[in-house]
Amino acid sequence: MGKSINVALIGNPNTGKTSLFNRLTGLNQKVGNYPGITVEKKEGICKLSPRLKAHILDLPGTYSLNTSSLDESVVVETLLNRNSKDFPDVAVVISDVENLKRNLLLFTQIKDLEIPSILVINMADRMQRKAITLDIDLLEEELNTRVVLVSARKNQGIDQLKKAIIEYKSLNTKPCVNASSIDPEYFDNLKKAYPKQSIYKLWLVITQDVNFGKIDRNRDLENLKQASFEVKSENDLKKLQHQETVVRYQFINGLLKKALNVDQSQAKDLRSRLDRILLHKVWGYLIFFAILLLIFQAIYDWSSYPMDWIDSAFAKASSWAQTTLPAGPFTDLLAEGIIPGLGGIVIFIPQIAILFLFIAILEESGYMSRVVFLMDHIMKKFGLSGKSVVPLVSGTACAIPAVMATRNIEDWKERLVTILVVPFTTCSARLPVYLIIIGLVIPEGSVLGGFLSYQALTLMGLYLLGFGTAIFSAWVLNRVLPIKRKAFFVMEMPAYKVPMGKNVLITVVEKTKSFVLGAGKIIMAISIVLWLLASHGIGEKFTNADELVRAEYAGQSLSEDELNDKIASQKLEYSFIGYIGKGIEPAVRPLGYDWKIGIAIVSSFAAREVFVGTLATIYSVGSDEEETIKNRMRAEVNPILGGPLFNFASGISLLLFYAFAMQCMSTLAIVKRETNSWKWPAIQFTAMTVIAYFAALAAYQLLS
Amino acid sequence: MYILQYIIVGLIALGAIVYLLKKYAFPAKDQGCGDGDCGCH
Repeated sequence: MGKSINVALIGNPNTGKTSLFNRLTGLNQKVGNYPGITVEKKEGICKLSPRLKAHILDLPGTYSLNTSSLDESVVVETLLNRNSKDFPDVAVVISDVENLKRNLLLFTQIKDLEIPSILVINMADRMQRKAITLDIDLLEEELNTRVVLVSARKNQGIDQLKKAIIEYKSLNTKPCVNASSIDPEYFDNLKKAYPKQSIYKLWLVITQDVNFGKIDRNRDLENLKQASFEVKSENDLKKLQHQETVVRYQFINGLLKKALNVDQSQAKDLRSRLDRILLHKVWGYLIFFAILLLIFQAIYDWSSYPMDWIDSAFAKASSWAQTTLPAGPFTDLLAEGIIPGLGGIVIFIPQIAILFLFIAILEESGYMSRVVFLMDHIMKKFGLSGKSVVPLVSGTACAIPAVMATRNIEDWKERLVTILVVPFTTCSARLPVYLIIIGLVIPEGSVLGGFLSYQALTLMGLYLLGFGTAIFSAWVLNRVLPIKRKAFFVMEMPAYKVPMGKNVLITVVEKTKSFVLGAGKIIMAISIVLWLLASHGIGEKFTNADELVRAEYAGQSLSEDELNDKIASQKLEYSFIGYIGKGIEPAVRPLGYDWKIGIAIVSSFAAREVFVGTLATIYSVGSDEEETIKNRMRAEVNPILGGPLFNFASGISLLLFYAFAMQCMSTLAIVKRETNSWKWPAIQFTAMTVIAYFAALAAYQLLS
Repeated sequence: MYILQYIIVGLIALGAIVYLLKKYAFPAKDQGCGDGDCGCH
């Protein structure tokens, strides 16, 4: 009877591990569960030679030995427990030729456990098509291992792999990365406490919360305490794990720089061809710019009809409530507060849905990852790494998840700078403000034969202004707070694919619903409070407005409608909100705004999108006319200069104010939570408000 | 009818003020993201 050895197949998900398992075992395989857990256990037999057969265990896919799931902990447990019947005599680590950098992280960890290991580079049949060349000798030398090129799909290299497994005893078990360099003193003491153990195994036992590890870890920690050994806190251990990953990637980057060559210009597959164009240092940016233009043009072109329809439907609903329901304060609240306030957000559903439709398509197709890659080149020039790109790009939806996304930036200062600049990127809450103001003050003409409207160009300009301000601020902050750069940025480029309609639809519906429901609740609450303040007041000029106005204009031949407008205007001016607005007015007057806009700005400090709803509510109070929000705003007259209140100068001033101002209390709360201090949100709020105020002031004074 | 409308308005206004205070003056400590309400708005 021949000898049997244990072979563990280990690798990242989607590296073709199961295909290789099937090639090696054929039909000699069985599928069960690991004892006590629901993780699938696949094992099989492979006859290596007449005298040697291999018991092959297909372990669950894992990205590293820093486990986060039960599946992954099974891998670590198998590799640590020398007493287990499944403990491998040889570990076959499978990698994908196109993702070697990421795959080698796992290999270096397994190698450091001093288990005989073979590196299998799968999908080798793609090398020619993708113009990939590998220096196998150098890889073998630097990794102290055997490297076998395989194509499990095309049944190539399987015999060489079997031969390498047969010769497993000749494999060098020396670690290839010195992980103890992250804290030499700590690891020296660890080695002294356990001189017979593999240092990396000890490290894994201490840091992993796997079932097997827990038992050993408790015992080990008890022993270490007795030996007066420094027991690190969980936080310190996590920091060391991060440092270990950095050290490993530095080693892998250095190795692949010498051993791997991808000549993109010679690659013949579709993905490479597309990447050659989309990631090109000139064409890449031009195409991205063209896509942005298309998105913003579509936002205007496709949404005008549904927007007009929604606007007029809300105006009709308000008028219907006023004329049909019994007269009284509730009817007034409904007609002048709730319906116009809600109309101020519902009107933007078409445009927000179109924006998210494009974002979902770009993400689903795999293009968004290319944008992040392109932006990484720009970010580096401003002192940030590619890791800051993801928060900045996701900031176009909302700053809250963007601030939270900075958690994957290891360097604290770089993370802080990213947190501080993220709110400059144009979030979806700014969109309603931009759209209504642009619609009022930017002419409807177009360029490029009618393809690009001035309004779409202005909107795109505001998005670019937000992103540009964010990276410029990062550059400034980088000078003030020196950032230690990390040398690597690892990002996996997904394959291009046709976006799935269902996925795109779900994203659009979910994002739009979240925006409307989330914003809708606040807008409704603020509209109610505003209406209350706008329709109540003290003093004779408010309570006797009717008599006073009629007496004042008794000698003039004004129509009843004109008189009603004058009465409504006086009541609003002497209502509670009128007093508050007049108090604010001196501060906002130099920016070209009246007290009503001042109220809208103050109320939108809670959330930017409240701006339109506030104006809609204020302009509706006392008005019986069936009028749309846009028309009401257009009809507003500057009380001092005369002429439209929303003109080019005041409009640009408002757009700049909202582009720069930190008007989102939720973002400030999240920044406080993420920085664990009120200092940074206070600095952020003050700096952004000051920048916004002076930018708006300069714009109005120059343009008016 | 008029008084009833006043009562309804009073209750709605109270609800709105309580909601805004709860949202901004005393926010929930753990605002998670991804479940529809990440506190963005």
